[in-house]
Amino acid sequence: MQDADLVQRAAEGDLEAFTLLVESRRERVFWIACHVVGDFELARDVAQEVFLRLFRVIRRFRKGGRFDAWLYRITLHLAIDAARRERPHRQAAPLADLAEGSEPRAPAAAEGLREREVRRIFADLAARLGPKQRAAFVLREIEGMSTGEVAAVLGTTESTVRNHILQARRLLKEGLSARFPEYAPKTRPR
Amino acid sequence: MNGDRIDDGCLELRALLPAWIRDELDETRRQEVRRHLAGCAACREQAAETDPSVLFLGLEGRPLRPEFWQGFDAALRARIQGEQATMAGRLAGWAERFRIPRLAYVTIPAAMLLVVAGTLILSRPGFRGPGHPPVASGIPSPYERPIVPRAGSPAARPEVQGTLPAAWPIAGQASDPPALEEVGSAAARVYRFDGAGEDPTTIYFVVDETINF
Repeated sequence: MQDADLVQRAAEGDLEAFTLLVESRRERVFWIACHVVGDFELARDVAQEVFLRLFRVIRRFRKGGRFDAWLYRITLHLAIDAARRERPHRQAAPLADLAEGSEPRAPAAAEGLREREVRRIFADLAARLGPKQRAAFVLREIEGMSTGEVAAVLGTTESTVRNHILQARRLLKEGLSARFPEYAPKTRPR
Repeated sequence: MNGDRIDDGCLELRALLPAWIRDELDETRRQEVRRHLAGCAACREQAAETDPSVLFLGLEGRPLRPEFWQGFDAALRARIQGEQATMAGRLAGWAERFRIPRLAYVTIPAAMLLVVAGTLILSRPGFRGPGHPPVASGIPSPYERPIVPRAGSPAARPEVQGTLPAAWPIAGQASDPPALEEVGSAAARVYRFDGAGEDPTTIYFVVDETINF
Protein backbone atom coordinates (compact mmCIF):
# COMPACT_ATOMS: atom_id res chain seq x y z
CA MET A 1 0.00 0.00 0.00
CA GLN A 2 1.23 3.49 -0.86
CA ASP A 3 2.25 5.77 1.98
CA ALA A 4 -0.33 8.37 0.97
CA ASP A 5 -3.13 5.78 1.16
CA LEU A 6 -1.86 4.59 4.50
CA VAL A 7 -1.87 8.13 5.87
CA GLN A 8 -5.32 8.75 4.42
CA ARG A 9 -6.74 5.61 6.00
CA ALA A 10 -5.08 6.35 9.32
CA ALA A 11 -6.54 9.86 9.21
CA GLU A 12 -9.97 8.31 8.77
CA GLY A 13 -9.47 6.39 12.01
CA ASP A 14 -8.20 3.04 10.67
CA LEU A 15 -6.11 1.70 13.54
CA GLU A 16 -4.54 -1.02 11.41
CA ALA A 17 -3.24 1.53 8.91
CA PHE A 18 -1.97 3.64 11.76
CA THR A 19 -0.07 0.64 13.18
CA LEU A 20 1.59 0.06 9.79
CA LEU A 21 2.60 3.73 9.70
CA VAL A 22 4.14 3.42 13.15
CA GLU A 23 6.09 0.31 12.17
CA SER A 24 7.49 1.96 9.06
CA ARG A 25 8.56 5.18 10.79
CA ARG A 26 9.41 4.27 14.36
CA GLU A 27 13.15 3.67 13.84
CA ARG A 28 13.73 7.02 12.17
CA VAL A 29 11.65 8.75 14.80
CA PHE A 30 13.54 6.94 17.53
CA TRP A 31 16.96 7.86 16.15
CA ILE A 32 16.10 11.50 15.61
CA ALA A 33 14.84 11.68 19.19
CA CYS A 34 17.91 9.81 20.37
CA HIS A 35 20.33 12.26 18.74
CA VAL A 36 18.51 15.11 20.43
CA VAL A 37 18.04 13.68 23.92
CA GLY A 38 21.17 11.48 24.01
CA ASP A 39 19.45 8.71 25.95
CA PHE A 40 17.89 5.54 24.53
CA GLU A 41 15.19 4.95 27.09
CA LEU A 42 14.13 8.56 26.96
CA ALA A 43 14.22 8.46 23.16
CA ARG A 44 11.90 5.44 23.18
CA ASP A 45 9.50 7.30 25.47
CA VAL A 46 9.66 10.29 23.15
CA ALA A 47 8.96 8.05 20.13
CA GLN A 48 5.86 6.70 21.85
CA GLU A 49 4.74 10.22 22.71
CA VAL A 50 5.30 11.24 19.07
CA PHE A 51 3.00 8.51 17.76
CA LEU A 52 0.39 9.22 20.39
CA ARG A 53 0.47 12.89 19.37
CA LEU A 54 0.34 11.81 15.73
CA PHE A 55 -2.76 9.76 16.41
CA ARG A 56 -4.47 12.78 17.94
CA VAL A 57 -3.62 15.17 15.14
CA ILE A 58 -3.48 13.01 12.04
CA ARG A 59 -6.98 14.17 11.05
CA ARG A 60 -5.48 17.63 10.61
CA PHE A 61 -2.99 16.40 8.04
CA ARG A 62 -3.70 17.98 4.68
CA LYS A 63 -3.97 15.62 1.76
CA GLY A 64 -0.95 16.03 -0.50
CA GLY A 65 1.19 17.44 2.29
CA ARG A 66 4.63 16.10 3.24
CA PHE A 67 3.81 13.57 5.88
CA ASP A 68 7.39 12.69 6.83
CA ALA A 69 8.39 16.31 7.24
CA TRP A 70 5.34 16.81 9.45
CA LEU A 71 6.11 13.73 11.55
CA TYR A 72 9.78 14.62 12.03
CA ARG A 73 8.84 18.16 13.01
CA ILE A 74 6.62 16.74 15.76
CA THR A 75 9.50 14.47 16.76
CA LEU A 76 11.95 17.33 17.03
CA HIS A 77 9.60 19.47 19.10
CA LEU A 78 8.85 16.69 21.56
CA ALA A 79 12.48 15.57 21.75
CA ILE A 80 13.77 19.07 22.45
CA ASP A 81 11.08 19.50 25.13
CA ALA A 82 12.00 16.14 26.68
CA ALA A 83 15.70 16.97 26.63
CA ARG A 84 15.07 20.23 28.46
CA ARG A 85 12.81 18.55 30.98
CA GLU A 86 14.48 15.22 31.66
CA ARG A 87 18.13 15.21 30.81
CA PRO A 88 19.43 16.53 34.12
CA HIS A 89 17.71 13.64 35.94
CA ARG A 90 18.77 10.76 33.71
CA GLN A 91 21.82 8.60 33.21
CA ALA A 92 22.37 7.46 29.63
CA ALA A 93 21.60 3.78 29.09
CA PRO A 94 23.79 1.63 26.82
CA LEU A 95 22.55 0.77 23.34
CA ALA A 96 25.26 -1.67 22.29
CA ASP A 97 23.14 -4.66 23.24
CA LEU A 98 20.10 -3.48 21.31
CA ALA A 99 21.48 -2.23 18.01
CA GLU A 100 22.33 -4.67 15.26
CA GLY A 101 26.06 -4.37 14.65
CA SER A 102 26.83 -2.69 11.34
CA GLU A 103 30.60 -2.82 11.78
CA PRO A 104 31.44 -6.40 12.64
CA ARG A 105 35.21 -5.86 12.38
CA ALA A 106 35.40 -3.62 15.43
CA PRO A 107 35.30 -5.26 18.83
CA ALA A 108 31.71 -4.70 19.93
CA ALA A 109 32.43 -3.64 23.50
CA ALA A 110 35.09 -1.06 22.61
CA GLU A 111 33.01 0.23 19.74
CA GLY A 112 29.96 0.54 21.97
CA LEU A 113 31.95 2.37 24.61
CA ARG A 114 33.38 4.79 22.08
CA GLU A 115 29.98 5.39 20.50
CA ARG A 116 28.40 5.97 23.88
CA GLU A 117 31.09 8.48 24.74
CA VAL A 118 30.64 10.33 21.42
CA ARG A 119 26.87 10.27 21.86
CA ARG A 120 27.20 11.72 25.35
CA ILE A 121 29.52 14.46 24.09
CA PHE A 122 27.14 15.30 21.26
CA ALA A 123 24.13 15.47 23.57
CA ASP A 124 26.12 17.72 25.87
CA LEU A 125 27.34 20.09 23.16
CA ALA A 126 24.11 20.03 21.14
CA ALA A 127 22.24 21.39 24.14
CA ARG A 128 24.14 24.62 23.52
CA LEU A 129 22.97 24.91 19.91
CA GLY A 130 19.82 26.71 18.95
CA PRO A 131 16.84 24.41 18.27
CA LYS A 132 17.03 24.91 14.50
CA GLN A 133 20.79 24.50 14.37
CA ARG A 134 20.53 21.30 16.36
CA ALA A 135 17.66 20.01 14.25
CA ALA A 136 19.43 20.82 10.98
CA PHE A 137 22.63 19.12 12.11
CA VAL A 138 20.85 16.01 13.39
CA LEU A 139 18.65 15.59 10.33
CA ARG A 140 21.16 16.35 7.61
CA GLU A 141 24.58 15.48 8.99
CA ILE A 142 23.74 12.55 11.25
CA GLU A 143 20.55 11.10 9.77
CA GLY A 144 21.60 11.83 6.19
CA MET A 145 18.52 13.66 4.95
CA SER A 146 18.87 15.93 1.94
CA THR A 147 19.00 19.68 2.39
CA GLY A 148 15.57 19.97 0.77
CA GLU A 149 14.03 17.45 3.15
CA VAL A 150 15.49 19.26 6.14
CA ALA A 151 14.17 22.56 4.81
CA ALA A 152 10.70 20.99 4.58
CA VAL A 153 10.89 19.72 8.15
CA LEU A 154 12.03 23.07 9.51
CA GLY A 155 9.71 25.04 7.26
CA THR A 156 12.52 27.15 5.86
CA THR A 157 14.73 27.48 2.77
CA GLU A 158 17.70 25.37 1.78
CA SER A 159 20.10 28.27 2.13
CA THR A 160 18.87 28.84 5.69
CA VAL A 161 19.46 25.16 6.42
CA ARG A 162 23.02 25.45 5.10
CA ASN A 163 23.51 28.48 7.29
CA HIS A 164 22.23 26.59 10.35
CA ILE A 165 24.59 23.70 9.58
CA LEU A 166 27.63 25.95 9.24
CA GLN A 167 26.79 27.69 12.51
CA ALA A 168 26.22 24.35 14.24
CA ARG A 169 29.56 23.03 13.02
CA ARG A 170 31.33 26.15 14.24
CA LEU A 171 29.70 25.95 17.67
CA LEU A 172 30.40 22.23 17.98
CA LYS A 173 34.02 22.83 17.04
CA GLU A 174 34.33 25.57 19.65
CA GLY A 175 32.61 23.41 22.24
CA LEU A 176 34.90 20.46 21.55
CA SER A 177 37.99 22.65 21.82
CA ALA A 178 36.83 24.17 25.08
CA ARG A 179 35.34 21.15 26.85
CA PHE A 180 36.72 18.04 25.17
CA PRO A 181 40.15 19.07 23.87
CA GLU A 182 41.15 15.44 23.30
CA TYR A 183 38.66 15.43 20.38
CA ALA A 184 39.57 18.87 19.04
CA PRO A 185 41.94 19.21 16.05
CA LYS A 186 45.60 19.30 17.03
CA THR A 187 47.81 21.99 15.56
CA ARG A 188 50.74 20.37 13.84
CA PRO A 189 54.23 21.89 14.04
CA ARG A 190 55.48 23.07 10.64
CA MET B 1 34.38 2.58 3.42
CA ASN B 2 36.65 0.23 5.15
CA GLY B 3 37.05 1.36 8.69
CA ASP B 4 40.76 1.94 9.18
CA ARG B 5 42.33 1.15 5.80
CA ILE B 6 42.67 3.74 3.05
CA ASP B 7 41.60 2.83 -0.49
CA ASP B 8 40.89 4.67 -3.73
CA GLY B 9 37.50 5.76 -2.43
CA CYS B 10 39.22 7.37 0.54
CA LEU B 11 41.70 9.23 -1.67
CA GLU B 12 38.92 10.49 -3.90
CA LEU B 13 36.95 11.61 -0.88
CA ARG B 14 39.85 13.44 0.71
CA ALA B 15 40.16 15.57 -2.39
CA LEU B 16 36.56 16.63 -1.87
CA LEU B 17 36.85 17.27 1.86
CA PRO B 18 37.61 21.03 1.74
CA ALA B 19 34.56 21.65 -0.46
CA TRP B 20 32.46 19.38 1.74
CA ILE B 21 33.47 21.28 4.86
CA ARG B 22 32.57 24.59 3.20
CA ASP B 23 29.24 22.98 2.14
CA GLU B 24 29.90 23.75 -1.52
CA LEU B 25 29.17 20.32 -3.04
CA ASP B 26 26.00 19.48 -4.89
CA GLU B 27 23.52 17.27 -3.06
CA THR B 28 24.62 13.96 -4.64
CA ARG B 29 28.32 14.49 -3.98
CA ARG B 30 27.61 15.79 -0.51
CA GLN B 31 25.64 12.66 0.34
CA GLU B 32 28.44 10.42 -1.03
CA VAL B 33 31.03 12.14 1.13
CA ARG B 34 28.79 12.06 4.19
CA ARG B 35 28.05 8.36 3.78
CA HIS B 36 31.72 7.62 3.37
CA LEU B 37 32.66 9.65 6.42
CA ALA B 38 29.92 8.02 8.49
CA GLY B 39 31.33 4.58 7.73
CA CYS B 40 35.09 5.21 7.45
CA ALA B 41 36.80 5.94 10.75
CA ALA B 42 40.16 6.78 9.07
CA CYS B 43 38.64 9.43 6.80
CA ARG B 44 36.54 10.75 9.67
CA GLU B 45 39.67 11.20 11.72
CA GLN B 46 41.37 12.96 8.81
CA ALA B 47 38.40 15.28 8.32
CA ALA B 48 38.16 15.91 12.07
CA GLU B 49 41.51 17.71 11.94
CA THR B 50 39.78 20.48 10.02
CA ASP B 51 36.25 20.11 11.30
CA PRO B 52 35.89 18.00 14.43
CA SER B 53 32.09 17.97 14.14
CA VAL B 54 32.49 15.07 11.64
CA LEU B 55 33.10 12.96 14.73
CA PHE B 56 29.33 12.91 15.18
CA LEU B 57 28.62 11.54 11.71
CA GLY B 58 29.34 8.09 13.09
CA LEU B 59 26.22 8.38 15.24
CA GLU B 60 23.89 7.67 12.32
CA GLY B 61 21.02 5.43 13.38
CA ARG B 62 21.37 1.70 12.75
CA PRO B 63 18.67 -0.93 12.49
CA LEU B 64 17.54 -2.00 15.92
CA ARG B 65 16.89 -5.53 17.08
CA PRO B 66 13.22 -6.54 17.22
CA GLU B 67 13.50 -7.00 21.01
CA PHE B 68 14.01 -3.28 21.32
CA TRP B 69 10.46 -2.75 20.11
CA GLN B 70 8.97 -5.40 22.34
CA GLY B 71 6.14 -3.87 24.21
CA PHE B 72 6.38 -0.60 22.27
CA ASP B 73 3.46 -1.29 19.95
CA ALA B 74 1.36 -2.89 22.67
CA ALA B 75 1.94 0.02 25.04
CA LEU B 76 1.14 2.53 22.30
CA ARG B 77 -2.04 0.73 21.34
CA ALA B 78 -3.10 0.56 24.99
CA ARG B 79 -2.54 4.30 25.40
CA ILE B 80 -4.49 5.08 22.23
CA GLN B 81 -7.41 2.87 23.29
CA GLY B 82 -7.28 4.36 26.77
CA GLU B 83 -7.50 7.84 25.29
CA GLN B 84 -10.40 6.88 23.10
CA ALA B 85 -12.24 5.38 26.04
CA THR B 86 -11.92 8.19 28.54
CA MET B 87 -13.56 11.58 28.43
CA ALA B 88 -10.26 13.24 29.35
CA GLY B 89 -8.60 11.55 26.42
CA ARG B 90 -11.32 12.64 24.04
CA LEU B 91 -11.04 16.19 25.37
CA ALA B 92 -7.24 16.09 24.96
CA GLY B 93 -7.68 14.90 21.39
CA TRP B 94 -10.24 17.61 20.74
CA ALA B 95 -7.99 20.28 22.26
CA GLU B 96 -5.08 18.97 20.21
CA ARG B 97 -7.09 19.24 17.03
CA PHE B 98 -8.02 22.85 17.67
CA ARG B 99 -4.73 23.86 19.13
CA ILE B 100 -2.79 26.94 18.10
CA PRO B 101 -1.92 27.85 15.34
CA ARG B 102 -5.36 26.99 13.93
CA LEU B 103 -7.13 29.25 16.41
CA ALA B 104 -4.39 31.85 16.54
CA TYR B 105 -6.00 33.77 13.70
CA VAL B 106 -9.18 34.13 15.75
CA THR B 107 -7.98 34.30 19.33
CA ILE B 108 -5.35 37.00 18.88
CA PRO B 109 -7.70 39.59 17.27
CA ALA B 110 -10.42 38.67 19.80
CA ALA B 111 -8.02 39.17 22.69
CA MET B 112 -6.94 42.53 21.28
CA LEU B 113 -10.57 43.63 20.94
CA LEU B 114 -11.20 42.67 24.56
CA VAL B 115 -8.20 44.68 25.71
CA VAL B 116 -9.28 47.75 23.74
CA ALA B 117 -12.89 47.47 24.98
CA GLY B 118 -11.73 47.05 28.57
CA THR B 119 -9.44 50.05 28.32
CA LEU B 120 -12.25 52.21 26.95
CA ILE B 121 -14.64 51.15 29.72
CA LEU B 122 -12.13 51.73 32.50
CA SER B 123 -11.04 55.08 31.17
CA ARG B 124 -14.62 56.42 30.93
CA PRO B 125 -14.96 59.72 32.89
CA GLY B 126 -16.31 59.11 36.36
CA PHE B 127 -15.96 55.31 36.18
CA ARG B 128 -14.70 53.93 39.49
CA GLY B 129 -15.32 50.28 38.86
CA PRO B 130 -18.33 48.01 39.10
CA GLY B 131 -20.56 48.63 42.12
CA HIS B 132 -19.74 52.31 42.34
CA PRO B 133 -22.17 54.85 40.97
CA PRO B 134 -20.64 57.20 38.44
CA VAL B 135 -19.40 60.49 39.86
CA ALA B 136 -20.79 63.67 38.38
CA SER B 137 -18.16 65.58 36.56
CA GLY B 138 -19.50 68.91 37.78
CA ILE B 139 -19.97 70.13 34.26
CA PRO B 140 -23.64 70.92 33.69
CA SER B 141 -25.16 68.90 30.93
CA PRO B 142 -26.98 70.90 28.26
CA TYR B 143 -29.71 68.29 28.37
CA GLU B 144 -30.55 68.77 32.01
CA ARG B 145 -33.35 71.12 32.94
CA PRO B 146 -32.22 74.39 34.55
CA ILE B 147 -31.96 74.38 38.32
CA VAL B 148 -34.40 76.66 40.08
CA PRO B 149 -33.20 77.75 43.53
CA ARG B 150 -35.52 76.60 46.27
CA ALA B 151 -37.02 79.04 48.73
CA GLY B 152 -34.86 79.36 51.83
CA SER B 153 -31.68 78.17 50.14
CA PRO B 154 -28.55 80.21 50.69
CA ALA B 155 -28.82 81.54 47.19
CA ALA B 156 -32.08 83.15 48.04
CA ARG B 157 -30.52 85.35 50.71
CA PRO B 158 -30.24 88.84 49.40
CA GLU B 159 -26.89 89.57 50.98
CA VAL B 160 -24.62 88.66 53.80
CA GLN B 161 -23.75 91.35 56.20
CA GLY B 162 -20.51 91.16 58.08
CA THR B 163 -19.79 87.57 57.27
CA LEU B 164 -16.80 88.51 55.19
CA PRO B 165 -14.18 91.07 56.09
CA ALA B 166 -14.45 94.17 54.03
CA ALA B 167 -10.86 94.01 52.97
CA TRP B 168 -11.35 94.67 49.31
CA PRO B 169 -8.93 95.63 47.88
CA ILE B 170 -7.85 99.20 47.98
CA ALA B 171 -6.31 100.15 51.24
CA GLY B 172 -7.53 103.29 52.84
CA GLN B 173 -10.81 103.37 51.01
CA ALA B 174 -14.07 102.27 52.45
CA SER B 175 -15.46 99.55 50.34
CA ASP B 176 -19.00 98.38 49.77
CA PRO B 177 -19.99 95.03 51.16
CA PRO B 178 -19.82 92.34 48.51
CA ALA B 179 -22.98 91.55 46.63
CA LEU B 180 -24.27 88.00 46.77
CA GLU B 181 -24.94 86.56 43.33
CA GLU B 182 -27.78 84.21 42.72
CA VAL B 183 -26.57 80.78 41.63
CA GLY B 184 -28.31 77.48 40.94
CA SER B 185 -26.60 75.58 43.73
CA ALA B 186 -27.83 75.18 47.27
CA ALA B 187 -24.30 74.76 48.61
CA ALA B 188 -22.40 77.43 46.74
CA ARG B 189 -22.28 81.15 47.27
CA VAL B 190 -20.77 83.65 44.92
CA TYR B 191 -19.76 87.10 46.07
CA ARG B 192 -19.15 89.84 43.64
CA PHE B 193 -16.65 92.58 44.35
CA ASP B 194 -16.98 95.57 42.15
CA GLY B 195 -13.77 97.29 41.34
CA ALA B 196 -13.20 100.86 42.34
CA GLY B 197 -10.73 103.59 41.70
CA GLU B 198 -8.30 103.08 38.84
CA ASP B 199 -9.06 99.36 38.50
CA PRO B 200 -12.72 98.73 37.72
CA THR B 201 -12.25 94.94 37.36
CA THR B 202 -15.03 92.96 38.93
CA ILE B 203 -13.95 89.93 40.95
CA TYR B 204 -16.14 86.99 41.88
CA PHE B 205 -15.41 85.00 45.02
CA VAL B 206 -16.92 81.52 45.13
CA VAL B 207 -17.55 79.62 48.36
CA ASP B 208 -18.58 76.00 48.06
CA GLU B 209 -17.81 73.63 50.91
CA THR B 210 -18.69 70.59 48.87
CA ILE B 211 -15.69 71.09 46.60
CA ASN B 212 -12.96 68.80 47.75
CA PHE B 213 -9.56 69.64 46.44
